[in-house]
Amino acid sequence: MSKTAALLAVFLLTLGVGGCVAAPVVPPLGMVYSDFDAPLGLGGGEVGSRRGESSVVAVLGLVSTGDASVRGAARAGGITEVKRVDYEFYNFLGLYQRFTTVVYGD
Amino acid sequence: MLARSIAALLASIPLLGCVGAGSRPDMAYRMAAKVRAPVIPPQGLLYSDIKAPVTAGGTDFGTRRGTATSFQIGLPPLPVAGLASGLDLFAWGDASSEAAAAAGGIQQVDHVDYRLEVFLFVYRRFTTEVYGD
Repeated sequence: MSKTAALLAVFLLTLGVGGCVAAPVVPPLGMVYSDFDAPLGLGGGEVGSRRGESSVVAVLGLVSTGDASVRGAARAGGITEVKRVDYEFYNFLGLYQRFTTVVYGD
Repeated sequence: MLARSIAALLASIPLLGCVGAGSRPDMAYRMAAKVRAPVIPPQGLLYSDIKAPVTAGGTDFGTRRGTATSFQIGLPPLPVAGLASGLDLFAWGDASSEAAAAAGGIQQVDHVDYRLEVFLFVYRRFTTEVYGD
C-alpha cells in the first residue's frame, strides 16, 4: 500500500467514525465502548407510569437514521403528558452508535 | 509503512466516537453534522435522517404541528489541509420556531423538535418541528 493510499485509508477511517453525541449533560465517554444513561431535561416532579423510547442509530459514522425526538419517544410510549426525559447512549468503537431518547410520563 | 499507518490510526483515535464532545462542543460541528443544538445524536456524513429535541421542557404536544426549513450546501471533506471537515458555502431559509408555528397555525408552542437530513456530505436540510395549539 502506497503512502498516499495509507493516508487516504486513515483519513476515511477517521472520517467514518467521527460521529458524535452532544447533549446538555454528557457523562465521560468511552472511545472503545460506551453504554450509559443520562438526563436530558425535566428533572423535577414525579416520573409517571409510562415509558417510551425512540432511537437514532449511526453506522460507521457514515449513515444515520432514526427519530430521537421527544415527540417520537412519547408517541412510542403512548404518553400525552411528559414528566421526565432521559437518554441512553451506546457506542462501540464509533462503528455502531445508538442514541435513545427515553420519555417518562402518563 | 504498516507501522506508520498504525501510528496514524492511533493518532486519530481521539476522534473515535467523538470522545470529549461534551468538553469540545465544536467537535460535532466540525466532524459531521454542521449543526449546533442542545442535543445532537450521532450523525452520518453520507446520509442522515434523524430527529432530536430542541427543547425538553414541555409536558405535552398540543394538537397541531408546524414545520420550517433551512438548507445548506458545501464541499465534501477532502484529504487536503484545511478541507478535512469540508467547506460550508451557502445556507439559507427560515427554520425559526416563529415560522414553524405560523405554518402550523399554532398560537401556543408546547414542544420543539428538529429534523436533520444530510445527503452525500454536501447538502443538508434542517427542519424545525413545532407542536402546540
